[in-house]
Amino acid sequence: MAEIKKILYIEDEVDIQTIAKIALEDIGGFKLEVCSSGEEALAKAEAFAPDLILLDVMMPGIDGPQTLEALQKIASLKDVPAIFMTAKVQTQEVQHLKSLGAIEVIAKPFDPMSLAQTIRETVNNS
Amino acid sequence: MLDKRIKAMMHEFKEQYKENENRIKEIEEIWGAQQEQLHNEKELSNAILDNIYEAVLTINPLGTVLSYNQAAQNIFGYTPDEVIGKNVKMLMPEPFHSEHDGYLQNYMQTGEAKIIGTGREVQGERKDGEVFPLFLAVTKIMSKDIPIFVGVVRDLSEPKRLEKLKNEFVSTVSHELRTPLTSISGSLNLIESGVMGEVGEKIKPLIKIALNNSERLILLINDILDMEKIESGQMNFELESVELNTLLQEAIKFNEGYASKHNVALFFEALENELDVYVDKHRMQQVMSNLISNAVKFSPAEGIVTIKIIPNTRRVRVEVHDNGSGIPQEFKKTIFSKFAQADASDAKQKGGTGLGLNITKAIIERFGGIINFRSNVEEGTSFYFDLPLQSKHELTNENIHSQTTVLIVEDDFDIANILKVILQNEGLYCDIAYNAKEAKHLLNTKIYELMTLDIMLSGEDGLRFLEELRKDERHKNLSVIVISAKDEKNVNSKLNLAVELVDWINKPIEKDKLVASLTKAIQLKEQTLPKILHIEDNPDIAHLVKAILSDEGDVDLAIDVASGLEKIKTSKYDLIILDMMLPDGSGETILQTLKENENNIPVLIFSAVDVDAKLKKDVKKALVKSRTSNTELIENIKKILHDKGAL
Repeated sequence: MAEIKKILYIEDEVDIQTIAKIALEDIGGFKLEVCSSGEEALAKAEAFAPDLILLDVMMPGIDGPQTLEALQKIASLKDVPAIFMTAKVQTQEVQHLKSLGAIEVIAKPFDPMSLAQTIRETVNNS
Repeated sequence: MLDKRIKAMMHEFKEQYKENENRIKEIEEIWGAQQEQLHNEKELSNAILDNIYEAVLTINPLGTVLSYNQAAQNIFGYTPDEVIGKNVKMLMPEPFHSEHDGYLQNYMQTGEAKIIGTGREVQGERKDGEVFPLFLAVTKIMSKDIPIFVGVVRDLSEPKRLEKLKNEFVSTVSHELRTPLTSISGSLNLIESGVMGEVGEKIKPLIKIALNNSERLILLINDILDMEKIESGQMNFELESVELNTLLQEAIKFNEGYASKHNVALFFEALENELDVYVDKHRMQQVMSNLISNAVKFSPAEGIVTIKIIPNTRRVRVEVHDNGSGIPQEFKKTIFSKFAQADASDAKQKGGTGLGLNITKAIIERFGGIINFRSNVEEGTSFYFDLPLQSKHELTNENIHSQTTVLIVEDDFDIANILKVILQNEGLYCDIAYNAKEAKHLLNTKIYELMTLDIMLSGEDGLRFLEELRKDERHKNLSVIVISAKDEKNVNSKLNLAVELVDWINKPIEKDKLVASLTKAIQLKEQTLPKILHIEDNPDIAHLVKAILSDEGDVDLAIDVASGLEKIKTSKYDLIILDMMLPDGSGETILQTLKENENNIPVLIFSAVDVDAKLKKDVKKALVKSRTSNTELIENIKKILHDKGAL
């Protein structure tokens, strides 16, 4: 797996966006495109050409799973790995999300100090 | 003269007529009163039937509805006129609709019942076509030699809807709570780490407090979610064969950070050989984290928490010991209850939700295990759980000794150690007690398969110690080999009065004789285990019961009525554990056959629903699965076997 530099990050909660931005840009050194909705992500994804898609599950409008499905239909993104970040972490939910093609499901609340490291390890091990 | 006689006869006739008339009137009055009473009674029963919450309907052996009460009308939407005289299958959706005639015919011909005598969840169809879940219990009554079936129906749509709503609510609430907590704990973590700039010394402890408490909230939400899943029976377990040493090592590694934060060391007494248990790895880690973190929390500074594995023939014990100040007496009874904490201030001082041990117990029980603890001020607290070993580790000739633990009770240091060497060479685990007091202590803290006893213990008569041991419920079946310098003949008569022994070996000890005696002891124990037949079609429950009972008996399984009856015919059992709802009929058939054959094997019903009082009379005990803990099941089985003299 090529090194991850650019992450397309989709999250509707502004507060969580702020924390994830610090965790991934300042601490992790990634370049982030932050989108507040699935629709916004679909509009920006191709031009941004991410190495990884990191997305929330429950969002108004099109939700995380629908967004991922739509993103994977874009030819240039179909092989880009995706990770869900969600507060719904019951075993069945995690299994369901993985079955949609995500390489990992990270539970919220997450530790911002180790988030970037977790993502790097996950991508390397996948 | 004739006239006079005729007159007298006439008079007599008239009198008789009058008397008859009166009697007829009297009979008419009684008849009227009885009719009225009958009418009143009928009205009363109809009123009762129409006013009870459950739908009650009766059908004949052809399936024709004979009666149909108000509640049935409310549930199904049909009026009595639309249903009475028609076939009951009109109230059922497919495939039950088409299959119903078959059930009845089959029952009439073979007596094999699917629902009769018990109850189960099925589906109904309302007049408007809506299919809904219902609980149906059917009983058979005889009216003038013709069977009539009484069906009691409870509409389950509302309880099911509420259950779904509750689950959604819990899941949503937990999600809604986690989202703001993500921001709170995330921000606090960033501040505490210093990446956002230096934090003033006065502010640091406040940030730490906020961070600790947001972590506590997260744990609480996780525990509440788990609790909810356990209570609704929705906690999914992925059971697999797992090597215990490796699993515990991982658990210790995972909890080391927490322990060192509290200045407590974790010490693991690993086993040399591998032992497999059948558990859900993830849930097992949760159990270990709960027990280890509890032990760490209640340890003094610089304390040591010891985690050890104590193997037995069929089970393995995992023990987590701390050298804290012990559990207060008054708290011991409620320790496994929900939100149990020794006192309210505990939660604040020690952290934790008060749900951990309750969840831990539920998980261990799902693995077929039992959890318990011992605690006192001097020695601290040990929480331990016993898990069944995977079948490949059950007794076979090759490993007969490998998991057997022996207690050597011997006051002579040299002899004790010679014994230990001999036994260890045979692959046995040994502990030595140099006097009766030590022996009692060890017997109360560990599980032993065997004990060798020097009958001439200094300080206490070994014989008296043995007698005392046999009076104790826990140790009365312990296999004992007496090792003595005295000649057997001199004390044998005295000993016969007191206790049963496996063997008697005279000093000096001959190795071969000792080993032969050990093998005999273990085999004897095997043979004396009561034989239990479990008739159950659910493989998970069958596995669980076999696991729970591994110390109490040899459990044989039958998955339906037919194979159950076959096994009863061909083998001798000390106890039958019976599920009532089996794929090819009802457990009642088994009970009926036992009765007909005057077979007095005690039966314990272990079924999903409660059985009626009549059935309970024919069995020793009836337990409902969802309401029975592992401990309760074992206690009941032990009692039945004990009463029968099998234990």
